[in-house]
Amino acid sequence: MIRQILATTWKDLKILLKDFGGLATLFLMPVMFIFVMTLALAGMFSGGGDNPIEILVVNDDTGTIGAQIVEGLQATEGFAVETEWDGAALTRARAEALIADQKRSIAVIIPADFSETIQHSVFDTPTDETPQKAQIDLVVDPALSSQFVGPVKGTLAGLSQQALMTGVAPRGIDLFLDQIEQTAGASLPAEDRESLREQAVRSTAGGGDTGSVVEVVQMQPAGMEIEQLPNSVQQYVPGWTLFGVFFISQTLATSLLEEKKVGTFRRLLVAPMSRAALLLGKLTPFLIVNLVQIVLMFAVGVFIMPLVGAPKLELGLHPEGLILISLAASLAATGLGLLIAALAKTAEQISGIGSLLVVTMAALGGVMVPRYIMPDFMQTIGLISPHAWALTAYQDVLVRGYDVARILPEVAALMGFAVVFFGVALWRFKWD
Amino acid sequence: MSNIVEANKLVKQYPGSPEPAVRGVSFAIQQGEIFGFLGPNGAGKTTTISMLSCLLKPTEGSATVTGFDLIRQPAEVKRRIGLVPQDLALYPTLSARDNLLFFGRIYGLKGSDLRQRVDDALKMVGLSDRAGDAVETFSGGMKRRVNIAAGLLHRPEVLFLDEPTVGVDPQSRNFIFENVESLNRDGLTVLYTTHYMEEAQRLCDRVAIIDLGQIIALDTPKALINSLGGGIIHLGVPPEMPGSLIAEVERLPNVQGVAHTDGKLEITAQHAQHALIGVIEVFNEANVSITSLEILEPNLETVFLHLTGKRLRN
Repeated sequence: MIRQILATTWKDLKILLKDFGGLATLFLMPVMFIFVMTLALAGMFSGGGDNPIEILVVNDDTGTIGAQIVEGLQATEGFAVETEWDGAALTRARAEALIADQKRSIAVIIPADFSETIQHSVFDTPTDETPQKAQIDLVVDPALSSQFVGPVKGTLAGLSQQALMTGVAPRGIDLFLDQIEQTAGASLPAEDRESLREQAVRSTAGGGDTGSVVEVVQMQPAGMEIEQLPNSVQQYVPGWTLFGVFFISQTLATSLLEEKKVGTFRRLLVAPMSRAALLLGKLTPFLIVNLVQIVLMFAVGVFIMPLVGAPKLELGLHPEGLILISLAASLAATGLGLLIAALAKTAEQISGIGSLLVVTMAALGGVMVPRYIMPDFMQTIGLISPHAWALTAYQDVLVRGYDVARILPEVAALMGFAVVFFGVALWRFKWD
Repeated sequence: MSNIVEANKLVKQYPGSPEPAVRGVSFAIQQGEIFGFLGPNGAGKTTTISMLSCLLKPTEGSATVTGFDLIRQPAEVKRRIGLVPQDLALYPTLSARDNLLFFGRIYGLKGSDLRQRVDDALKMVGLSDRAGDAVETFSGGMKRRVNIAAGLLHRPEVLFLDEPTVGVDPQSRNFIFENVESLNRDGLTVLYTTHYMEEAQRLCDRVAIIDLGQIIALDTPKALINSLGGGIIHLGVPPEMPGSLIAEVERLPNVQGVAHTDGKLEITAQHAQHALIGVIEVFNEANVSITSLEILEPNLETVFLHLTGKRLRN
């Protein structure tokens, strides 16, 4: 049986190698998309369109400045601020969990001592022990593009300045006046005058540089590790690779139909060869082509894209996970090919059903447009696409630095797709 | 001689089809003979072969091939039969040699034995010099020859040839005939289906004439033709022919039988030409005009026409 499978595999590889046009399409098409899309959309692929950026806000501040910043965020166009989840006020832990689960991408955490720290840093004489700056934590999904993070950071800086102006400056001026009354008639020592002036300036006009008082610290949720933020290469190299991987399902279906049409399928059925061996031999070459495709596409990302000015594709902390994802995705793709072959009766139907399935799945799965900028319901619908699971898994490894254990759910989902595709295909497959 | 194929009331009804494609076919093929299935397209020849090669399950009936039961021992049957399908079941972009190497491997052949058999097969069908060329560059006849070679690599005990000469030039056709005869001389049993009566007549030891899913005659070509006597005369006659005239024709010497269907008289004769003279005299005397006249040669085509009222090829 093994010999029969190998013989069939070798035969089909030979046939594929002789079909230069078809093979070129399988390899050049994803490369073309990787180049065009990565370069064309490098600066704005995650621009977000008209959808507001959803921001989780946890305001633990016991003072008033935090609340002012939250109000400011809520009033900012393009932001959708959420302070509650499932009817309960958000906590830092909950917000981080939501980001780790990829339900949301960004959270603003204002700590309990926020207002207090600002007061201290403005009005107290600096010492080595007291913290000099109030901190706002910006918890961000490492896979979120900096194009998203930038506006949020900028807005927070602006709002901090405003809050400082309205919340801190009056107190500064009061202090200033008190000092004038107290010292009325008496001449101030030159040292004190200097100090008072400095305080007033710092608390009012000096608000232009909030960076000296409030610091926005970007971080990722606990447990989410990363080397760098994602870029267009990390979006489009795995994305279009998957497109190519699933595109092979049409080639596979056509090859099966051709065998039936020419009569070789019948000849093989007459031979002392089990149906399992026939199908395994038929599917294996396409699995091999898939894996070669993936290696080449990732190589393009690593070696070629930097040459044309795009960032280099970094393979993450645990690149071995990529092998597992690639195998599972390829199995799902060959399963889809068999399914199309089982459903379609003519070459026209294969290209019709095939294109419809492959392109729709790719679109839903975030190949063309990243899923995280899609509305929630589209993200949910996207889960019916194996591309979505595979792309998330790839980005878990490439961008979030996950190890094999943490991508197992996605890999299991891909295997689930493979099982369903193969199951329905074998059920519907016509052997004669 | 022992029977290598025994079919017992095979029936095949395709799902959704109102009539069965094969309706209770029984026959036996003896070891070492070339057994012909002669019938028009759609007669049920390919369906019967498909059942005998374990591709289709019979709806009813049973059969053994090389002593093994079709339904219970398909693996044993498959190992011992060779099928040359009606389609050119080859990979067009692969070379003749690569096609044969592949099919040989599927039958478990390997190494130098496989290469030797592929070389022998290519030589037998006269394509050694084109072995490395893609099959798609071959003529129809050459493709047919590779198709036959592919069915022989594993040295089957019985070869099913399904219309092996369709779309073939006369030269390739002769080549195929010679191949089949030579294989048969070496002991291979052949089931040969065709709708060309000359092929059945030339190649087959026995012929089963099949029409509408049934065997309507089975004998040696000679016996089948002899059943016609010396030939058949078809006369076009007026629809209202007097019965006395038909009786007079039947009494003529040389005439074996007369059948009258509206406007047509079929006369089976020991010697068509001699009988014709008497027939024309009888008609002249009765002053009945003959509107058309056809003398049919005594051959399998005429046998088929005689049995079914149809021609093999329309």
